[in-house]
Amino acid sequence: MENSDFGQHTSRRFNEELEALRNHVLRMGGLVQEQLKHSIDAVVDGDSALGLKVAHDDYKVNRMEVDIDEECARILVRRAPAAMDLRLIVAVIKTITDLERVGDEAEKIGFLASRLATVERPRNHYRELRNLGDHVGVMLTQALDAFSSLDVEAARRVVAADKNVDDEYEMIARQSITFMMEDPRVIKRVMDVLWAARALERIGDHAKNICEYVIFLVLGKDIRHLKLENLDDPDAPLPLKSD
Amino acid sequence: MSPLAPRTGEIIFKNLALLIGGLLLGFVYGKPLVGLCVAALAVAGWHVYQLCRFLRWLHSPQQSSIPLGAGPWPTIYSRIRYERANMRKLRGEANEKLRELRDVTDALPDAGFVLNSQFQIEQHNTAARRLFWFGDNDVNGLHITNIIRNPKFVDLVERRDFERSIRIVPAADTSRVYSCRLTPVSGEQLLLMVSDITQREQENRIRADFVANASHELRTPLTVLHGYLTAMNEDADLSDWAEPVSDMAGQVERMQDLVSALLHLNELEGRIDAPLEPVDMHIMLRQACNDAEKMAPGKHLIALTCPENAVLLGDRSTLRSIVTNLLSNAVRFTPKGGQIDVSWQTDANGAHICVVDSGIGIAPEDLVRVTERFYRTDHGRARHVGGSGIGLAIVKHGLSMHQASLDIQSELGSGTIFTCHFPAARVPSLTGDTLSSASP
Repeated sequence: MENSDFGQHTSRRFNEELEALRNHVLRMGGLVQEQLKHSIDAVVDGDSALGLKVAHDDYKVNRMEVDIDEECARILVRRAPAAMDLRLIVAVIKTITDLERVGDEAEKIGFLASRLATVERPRNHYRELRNLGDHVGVMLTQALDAFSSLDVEAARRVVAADKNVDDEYEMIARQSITFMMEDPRVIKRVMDVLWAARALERIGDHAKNICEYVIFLVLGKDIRHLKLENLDDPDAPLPLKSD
Repeated sequence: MSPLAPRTGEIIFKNLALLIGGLLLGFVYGKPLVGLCVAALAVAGWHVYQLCRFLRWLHSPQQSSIPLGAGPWPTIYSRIRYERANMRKLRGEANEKLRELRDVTDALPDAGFVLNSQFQIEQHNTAARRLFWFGDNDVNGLHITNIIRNPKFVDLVERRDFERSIRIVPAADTSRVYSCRLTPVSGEQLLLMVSDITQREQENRIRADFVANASHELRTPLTVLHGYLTAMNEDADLSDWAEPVSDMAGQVERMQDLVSALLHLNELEGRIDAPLEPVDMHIMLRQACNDAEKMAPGKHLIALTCPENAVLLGDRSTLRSIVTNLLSNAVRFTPKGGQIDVSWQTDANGAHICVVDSGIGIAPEDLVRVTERFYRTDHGRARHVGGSGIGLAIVKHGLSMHQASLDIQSELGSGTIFTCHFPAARVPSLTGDTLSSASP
């Protein structure tokens, strides 16, 4: 391994175990990405069968989470890792929790898609959800890329990009309120769209979390709850509750 | 003899001459042995001195001047210098070749990865960087599934499937479609080629959509035309026009057939694998033979050889259109009084449906193209025998849905043999499954 420091143990088995763990996390990430993509396709194309399939397939993501969790526990017990290796295990345990949540959100969108497919579709074919979904999908991809290459800079970019996703969600929310005021008959449908948008916005947050774990893993620095401009300042205080 | 060639005789002669000179000088002074020893020591000392100089020169290669010397030494120096220059030149050429090769692989539009046996990336070209957006990061040594995380691709890697190429949609840009293929290279290495097939897919879809829409739009006007023409045909007041009207009705019917065949073909092209539902081929073939008989009553002799228990796993309507199209082809292209044999056989390789006619045959140059849409062997003749021109295209696509293949043997003037080979996995009597639920 040239990209990471996991290749320097005297025990070759240990190296292989850490390598396999990383690969498994990324594989789970790939599955979650696919689920997310299918769920958005299901909404946009009005494909209720695909939506239900996504909802049904969530068990695969859950199973992978349980398996990887167990793998982490085994390494902790058997190898008692330290420093970077310990940070890797901690980061992995947190990352898979977030990935599993992303899977849950995709499942939710899948259900909403199967419901939305039964009602009349708006003229723009849910373009706003497609845009937000693509945006979030790219964030998740970049977060996993950052995890695979331990690229702190890329991770920082994703953390910064989360702001755009939040703004986009705000826009959809405002637009939805307008729709509902104009025509109360569409309230049910617009509510479902709003739920889907909310789920996508949450996925953006999870992608951001994964990037924070990458930064923690590489630099050993916890940047959670820091303001963006304070990211590089190690002595910056945590924001108070009133902030 | 080149100036660099070693002159061994001369070297031995010179050294011997020195020793003999020492010996003679010793004779003069009455101590020949001492003379010989002194001469031998002088020769050895001189050579040791030269050897030391030579070693010094060897270890500082930038020192280009050759130390002067006698005996074998100038030859050694120039020989080594020559070899070194030669080596440098060869290395330069090899580097140049490598660079050229590298430039060529970088210029390829497709992404290429060289993987080791553990599926870790050893090398990649610049297109790989472009297609997978890993920027300036060093990905060598990473497992390939860290870069391409698509579950379908992971599955391909895990099963070490070198036969198929798969279609994936990259996560970072859902508007694109890539096609991936793994190929084993010499030794343990693997080559992964990824090409961007977005445009090709789009063009295919546009073409398919166009055919579907055009056919669909033509349906309604044709139905209206057909309705009026049938009514006019039955109208006694228009008896003067009876012939043109019935001609028109015939042509409209042909167009309707063509439109529905096109729609059917489009539907077949979109699908991937036929289901595994048991279909009783004995009954289906019998019905198809009866229908073919009705197309031109009494014109041909149609014989069917098929055991009662002929069952195939597949899609009923597709199999039906395969058989019907093959038979209607045979009927159309076989002159009156001809013979058409339909048979079903099974062997270890699977099941084979054979349609043999004694018709006009197909010219060898047309054989490879007859399964293309609207390909006609002879424009003048094909008009009056009718047919849509896409019957064999439907057969080919229907068969590929069943992983089956079509084999055509033909000789002009003596007839054609169409054979459909179905794999053993689709024949329950061969796989050992006793599916009794076969229905007509």
